[in-house]
Amino acid sequence: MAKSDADLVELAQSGNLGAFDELMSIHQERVYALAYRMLSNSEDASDVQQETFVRAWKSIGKFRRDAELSTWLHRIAVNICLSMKKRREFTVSEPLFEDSIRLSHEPCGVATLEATETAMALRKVMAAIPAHYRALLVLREIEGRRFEEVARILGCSEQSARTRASKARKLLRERMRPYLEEEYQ
Amino acid sequence: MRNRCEAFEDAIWDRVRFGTDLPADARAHIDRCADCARALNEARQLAGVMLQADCVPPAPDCRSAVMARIAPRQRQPRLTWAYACAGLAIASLAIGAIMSLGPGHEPGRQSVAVMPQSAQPKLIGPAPHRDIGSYTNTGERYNPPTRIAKQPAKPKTPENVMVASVVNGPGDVVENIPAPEIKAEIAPDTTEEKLSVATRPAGDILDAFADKDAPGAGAAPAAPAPVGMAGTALSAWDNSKDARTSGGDSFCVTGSLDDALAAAPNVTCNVTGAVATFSVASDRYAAAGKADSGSVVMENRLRVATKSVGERSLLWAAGTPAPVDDRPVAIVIASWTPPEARPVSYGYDYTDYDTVTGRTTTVSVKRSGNHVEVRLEGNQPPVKGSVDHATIPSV
Repeated sequence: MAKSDADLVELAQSGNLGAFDELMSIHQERVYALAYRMLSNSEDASDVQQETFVRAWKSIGKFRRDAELSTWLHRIAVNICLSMKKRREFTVSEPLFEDSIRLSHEPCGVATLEATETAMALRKVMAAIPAHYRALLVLREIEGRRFEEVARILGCSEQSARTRASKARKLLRERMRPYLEEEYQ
Repeated sequence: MRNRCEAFEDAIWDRVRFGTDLPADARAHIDRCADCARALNEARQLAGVMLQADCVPPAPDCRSAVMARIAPRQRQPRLTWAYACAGLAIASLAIGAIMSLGPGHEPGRQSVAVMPQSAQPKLIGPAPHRDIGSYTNTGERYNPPTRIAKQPAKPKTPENVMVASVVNGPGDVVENIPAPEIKAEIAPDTTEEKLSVATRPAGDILDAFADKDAPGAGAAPAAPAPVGMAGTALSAWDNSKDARTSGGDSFCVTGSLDDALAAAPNVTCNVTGAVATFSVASDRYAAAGKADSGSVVMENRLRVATKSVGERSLLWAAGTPAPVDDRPVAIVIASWTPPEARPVSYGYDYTDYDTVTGRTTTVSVKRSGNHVEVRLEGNQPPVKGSVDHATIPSV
């Protein structure tokens, strides 16, 4: 029978590497996805993924079992992403591929050029948005998390998360406006 | 007014992102407020674009690398100064005693310490190069520092092993096959994109080979179950829409390589030692005077299947590589639809994880007219370059 996160955490806290390995296998994909969305770079995301679990192992003893492990891991990952962003301007795209973009929901063959351009613009705009706002957009608007969880991951109050999200959306809308159609009138 | 607008912002975004209903007061407000109507429209568009642009490559399995960093290492016991000095004194005394008392001692002759052969440092040569394909490019090569720690070999645990049949003939060999593992390379030549993917048979791949619904064109083997290709296997590497379906005039072959090739007239194969080189002919290539090709290191076990989807020919082969490692490998060579059938500009990418090296390869292809840019990142030295399809007429 598969062990729950709580069981595995308990074992990991007693130094059981096998249990930690299982925890990694459960959570590594989402940690990577979060890092990739934050950094838009697979190598950096992979680094963050590794570093997150290394730090998690070092601090697993301090983890309170009443909290959600995934939230805790994502908090570590976001912190690493933010500090990475502070340390350097990470590459969003290679010069050769500065116009390339991954399209997830549209087969490439039928993706319209306009949609591709807008998606590329979004990627560039997201890359230029301050990291703490970007984190909010990723957690809330892309990953669809509740504000309560977003706040826990970012280590702020729910109200603060809401305020920041509002600013982040405003920034996004302003910068994306040239690429959006005006349909409202 | 401003504060009131902000009060409805969450409702607007929840509406476009999660499909929740707008509260009545928000609806009424948006009907009256041009700013909020505009916000709703922009949020709707942005949500769509965000969804479209959000494509995360498959996550690499970081467990081995993390384990290598966190697992306790065996420490060499440290010599304290006291131990060191004592050892030195004892050694000096012993040498002195031997030199003054030992039989056969010849004054003036120097003794030479000879390190046992096993203790001598060994020169380590470069790791054996293992290529399953080739990459030709007109761009640069670069070698960024390795970012992923070297992976220790994964222990084969019972959970990691599945029993399946990869055979030379119907139902004759049962082998242990590791769980899903993928390795990939892309090899565009100067005239055509060519994607060759080596995939360690995973559950879905094996299922694909055992697809009972595969239409057997002509001879369908009686046992084991006919080999075929299913959408799940193809969609792992092929972004083209039609390849995700299992339709088309695909057929399949089990049995020996000769049988397979006999049933796949557009495929030729030359076997030299343990390497089989395939060529897939198609009208398109014939027109260009070219052939698609690929090679696989194999033993005497091989399965080959071909599939035609429209004008595309696919060769699908599973064999046992040797002596690179002990695990079976499947190779797919895809020849893509001719440029005339494709949009002028498109791009795709995928990421694969190589369990042998523990590294991840991200392959990105972007095409604009006859110009194709390709980037391989993460595996081997990352490569980027561009290819011009000069010999294929422009769209």
